Order: sequence, then structure tokens, then C-alpha cells
Amino acid sequence: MKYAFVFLICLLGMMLPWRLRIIYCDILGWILQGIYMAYYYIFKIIINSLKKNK
Amino acid sequence: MINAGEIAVLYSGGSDSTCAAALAAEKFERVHLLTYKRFGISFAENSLLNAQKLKDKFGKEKITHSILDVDKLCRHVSYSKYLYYAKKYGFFLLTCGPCKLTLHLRSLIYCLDEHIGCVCDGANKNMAGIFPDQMQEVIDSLRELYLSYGIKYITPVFDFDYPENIGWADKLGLKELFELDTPDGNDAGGMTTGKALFNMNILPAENVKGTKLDQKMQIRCFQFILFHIFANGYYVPIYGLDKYREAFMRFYKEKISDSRRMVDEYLKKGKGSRLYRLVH
Repeated sequence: MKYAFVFLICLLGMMLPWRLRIIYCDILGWILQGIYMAYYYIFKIIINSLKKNK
Repeated sequence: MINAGEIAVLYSGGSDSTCAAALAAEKFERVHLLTYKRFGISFAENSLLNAQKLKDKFGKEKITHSILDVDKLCRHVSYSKYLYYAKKYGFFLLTCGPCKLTLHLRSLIYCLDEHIGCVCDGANKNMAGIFPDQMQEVIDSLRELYLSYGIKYITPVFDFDYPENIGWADKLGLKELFELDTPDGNDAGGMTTGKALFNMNILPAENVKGTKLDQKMQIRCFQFILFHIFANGYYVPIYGLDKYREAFMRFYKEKISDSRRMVDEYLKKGKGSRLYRLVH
């Protein structure tokens, strides 16, 4: 299931022409960047709380 | 007549390529920094920051910096004989492989036009994994391509170490919280490109990777995400890293052969060649 999802993401990228593919990659990049930032800051808040309580 | 005292550097402005340029400046009479821009590569002007520092350190006569547009060329390398390549190699056609070949192809043309005898970049062994330009086999193939036109391709920072304290645990302060044994502050173990530049008074700290300064001093490109998803999320987990590298090399060797034909035509026909139209 996971590989099928990844396959579809890549397949869509393969079918796009030059500029659209770049825009598509950038959108994917910003989505992943958003997930990364959310993950980072949630962990940061938890760790800061742990440090305070230590 | 090729000038062996001059070198071209594929220059992003980051610490690896800046270190490669600084090491080259110590050995060569003249260093040409080549930064590439195209649709999808943003902040090419960020590379001016460290280029200026290199000029201040080694002199304006020794260091020259050019920002070259490779949009048409990259599009051609990515999409020529598209159906043939898509059928034979599938997702290997996505973004990073053709893009890196484009940068080397443009550098090769620059060297031929300017009669430069040597070329280098910031390729490093520690990034070796899925990305094409950091695989030893790819570097060897590119070296062969350059050499067939009398140009030497070197990778001066290939064996440098990578900073140790740039992982998640360091960024989040986990090691400090759990009192894990860790190198102190900027101590990054062996010799890194950041450390070498710090020792040369070019960078303000030994390890700037991942910092705001790092973002401000180099070009940005997000298209590697798609290639990363393909390689790490699909091909490598299913077939393994060795098969991935084998398949990638087959694809790359064929693309390099196409590039070689284009360069030969460029040398033969000059302004009448396809490559000339794509480059100028």
C-alpha cells in the first residue's frame, strides 16, 4: 500500500512537463517541510517541558 | 590550447563547494566559480556571499564568479528521447540525475570555450547513498567524459568528514537532556569542510550546516524531494541499494553517451550545433 502510494506520486511527476514537474516537486517539498517543522516544534515543546521538570 | 593552471568549480556557495574552491585557489593560478540557475533553482545570488569572501582572501584577479542559466539545457537533458528512457529506466529520469549531468555538461562546455584544463566540485563521500553526484561510480564516469576532452575532473573534498552534531538529537537537545556522551559544541570530529574554511578565516564557525547562515549562502532547490521519495521510499526498500546503484549507472552511462555526442557536434559545428543553441 505504501509503495503503491509512493509509486503514484512518482508516476504523476513522470507524466508532467518540465515546468509543471518543478512546481509539483516544490509543492511536495513545502508539504514535507511543513510536516518536518511541525514534528520539530512539537518535539521541542515536549523536550523543553521535560528539561524544566528535570 | 588548454591551460592547466586554471580550474572551474561547480559552485553552489555552500561549505563543500566553497572549500573545494578555496583548496583549488591554493594550487591553481585562476579559479572560475560557476553557479547555475534555472527554473526551480532559487536564490542563485546567495552564492555571491562566499564568492566575495574567496575574492577577499585570494584576490579578485585569481577568483572569477559567473552565474549561468541552464534552463534550456536541463530541459533538453531531462526530456530528450523521453519515451525511450522512461520505458527503459522509469523513475530514474526524475530530477536529480539529469540535472547534475546538465551542470557537468555546461561546465565541460565552459572549460572548452575558456580553454580551462581542470574542473572540480564539492562532491563528498559522506553523502554517498542515493544521490548521483556523490556516487563514486558516477564520479568515475564523469571523469572519463571530461578526460576524453583533455580536462581533468577532481573532487578535492571527497574524503572530508561530515559534521557529527547536525542530527535530530543535536537540534532538539536530546543528548543534553539524557546526558549522553557527545562532542562539545562545534567539535565535529575529523576534518570537515566547515572546519577547513573556519581555519582559513572564510567561515565564522566550524559547523554551519543547517544554520540560517547556511541557507543564506547557497542556492536552494526542492526538486530533490521527488527523487528522494522515489529512491528511499520505493526503489531501495524493494530492490536494495546495490541494485539501485547498478540501475542508476546503466541509466547514467547512456545519458553520458548522449551528452558526448552533443559535445562532439558542438566542437564540429560550433554555432550551428544544437548544444550551442541550448547553452547560449
